[in-house]
Amino acid sequence: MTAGTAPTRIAAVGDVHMDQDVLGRFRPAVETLQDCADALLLAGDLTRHGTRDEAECVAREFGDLPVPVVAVLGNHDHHSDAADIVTKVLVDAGIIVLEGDGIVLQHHGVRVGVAGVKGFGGGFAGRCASAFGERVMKDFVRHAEEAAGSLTAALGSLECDTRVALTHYAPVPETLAGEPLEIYPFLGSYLLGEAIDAGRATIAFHGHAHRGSERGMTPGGVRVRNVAHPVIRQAFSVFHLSEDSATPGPL
Amino acid sequence: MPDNYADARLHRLFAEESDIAELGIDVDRHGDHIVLRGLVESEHRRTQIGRRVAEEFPDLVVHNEIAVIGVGPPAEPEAIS
Repeated sequence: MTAGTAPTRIAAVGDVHMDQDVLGRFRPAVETLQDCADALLLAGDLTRHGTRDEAECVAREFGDLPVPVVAVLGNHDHHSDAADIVTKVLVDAGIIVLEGDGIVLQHHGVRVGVAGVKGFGGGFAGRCASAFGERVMKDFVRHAEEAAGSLTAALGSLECDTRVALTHYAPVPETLAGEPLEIYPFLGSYLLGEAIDAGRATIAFHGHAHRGSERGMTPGGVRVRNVAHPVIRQAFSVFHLSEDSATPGPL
Repeated sequence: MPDNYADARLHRLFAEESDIAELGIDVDRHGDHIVLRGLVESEHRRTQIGRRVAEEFPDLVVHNEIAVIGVGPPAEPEAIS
């Protein structure tokens, strides 16, 4: 990145829960994205039940846009055990779907890497689930560990100027403020925050916590933004990543 | 059925009934009144939840304060430096 480079403009929203009854609501705002953003990130829960029909609604609403669209899936998108079909419908519409991998977007000579994973729950440091006891409990924790591990690897694989992490589940408890404390373990995992810090991301976006708060930070100082639609209450939010925010050097 | 169990059943109904599938709706009881709050993506969903709660609790007065989330253009961008 050279001195004086214009900021990279990232738009983001999650939890749009598309179905026929929502079709067309976001379209007027996203059709003019190029005026305010260089890429759009979708932070999971793109559908209500994860069906093909709902995925086709997502494709119509967020496909064929003037900027790259990068998505992760959420828990709703897995509800019908058809995540592969949902992914294919989105990819066929030109949407980049990440799950434990990443993509580097080039814009005016700046390389912005986005690493994405759905993530999972488990809770936060000192109050989290452990891989102990019943098989189902160990499977629960292992799923969270695998998600975080794949995010670490994906961030590490990016050759870019600025690294961005995209998840559905939350990496820190701060952006859950407003949710009942009792359900925090179902909303995110400190393992994701640890992965984001290890991968030296500049910023992390997530959704999932509809009653949460917009802003938080990992223990390593990475800005975290909850872009769930019920939190931001607009079609999407926009973030300007300046050259000062670039990830310093290789991992 | 005690209120506590009825409320738990209602929260699961919101999540698990395919016509609803909402995990973020709050239910507050005030005597014979029940207040619904939360944010959804369409007027259809707002109406559907209110109708379903009225079916479950025919003896209660349902106040549907669920709102539909706006999809307006974004406010000022946030600078990350």
